[in-house]
Amino acid sequence: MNQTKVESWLYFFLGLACFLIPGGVAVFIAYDRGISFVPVLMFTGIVIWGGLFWLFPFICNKLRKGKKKVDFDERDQLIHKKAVMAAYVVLWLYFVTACVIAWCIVGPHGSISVNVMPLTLLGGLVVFTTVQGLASLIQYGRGGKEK
Amino acid sequence: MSLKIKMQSAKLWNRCAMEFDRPLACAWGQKWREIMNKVQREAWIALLLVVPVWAICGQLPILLIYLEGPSFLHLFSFACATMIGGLSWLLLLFFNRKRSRKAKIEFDERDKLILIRSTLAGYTVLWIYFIAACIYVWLSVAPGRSISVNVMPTVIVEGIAVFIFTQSVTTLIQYGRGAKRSELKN
Repeated sequence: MNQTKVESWLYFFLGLACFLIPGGVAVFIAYDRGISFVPVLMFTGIVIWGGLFWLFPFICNKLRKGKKKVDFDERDQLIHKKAVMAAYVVLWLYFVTACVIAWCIVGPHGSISVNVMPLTLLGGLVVFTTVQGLASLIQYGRGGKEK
Repeated sequence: MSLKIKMQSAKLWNRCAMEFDRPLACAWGQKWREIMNKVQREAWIALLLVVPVWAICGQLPILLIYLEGPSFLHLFSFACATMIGGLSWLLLLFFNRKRSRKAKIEFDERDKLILIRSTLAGYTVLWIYFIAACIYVWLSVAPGRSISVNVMPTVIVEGIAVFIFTQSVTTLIQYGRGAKRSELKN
């Protein structure tokens, strides 16, 4: 397994726990104790970090360009890009589905709790992370870099 | 005699058309084709036409559902419109690949790379937009209260406008100003 594949596995398993639990806690704190700086900052940090984490390997690669050891080559970049694109496609479908379901359940004149929006965003983050990890693992196949 | 006059007037008319009308009509198109490639033209059209039209008319299905109630047709049209709006780049990629396989290659690897990069940039900005919209709603309405269900589709529809805008701007930035001329020189 190369580094990117290990990261994909980590992303796949830890992504859910790392983003869903703290994000859910932030929404719950805001709901229970009222809106304050800490839960909003916590939630914003989690969704920005989780949603844009895919940029991290590219930035690292650019910073490490001068060094001899290449951990993230062109093939890895292509696989990573494809995985991110697939994840974004699924994320978009998830948002449209969530919206239509909410419409169908509540009706166009009804109202929903304001907490539904951050929870939908958190759900989207989980979907994005899972699909990205899965797409990376599928593209690497079983053998990974050794082949 | 009259036939001769008619022919002469027809010739004159044609000449006038050649001199004045055609250059006006064709010069723009020709200039466009000279300066820009197909993807750049599409990006300009999206930026100047699709984004404003989408931002205004995209709300129409939401209004229809609000006024007439949620029917299958309305929901289906909304779902289809948002899916096509958000995943239009996928169609663009598919059709251009198919066309380039046939004969004339207008969409090469560089175009594909630019499209992928601009799509990723568009999605990144879209994600930030969703976060901003969510936080704004959360802060403006207290967490214990509720909002109209129509806020969600409105955010999604405007998100498509943001996505197309960012994608088009990024495409144009990546191609730069003199893309096609430099390609022809090479």
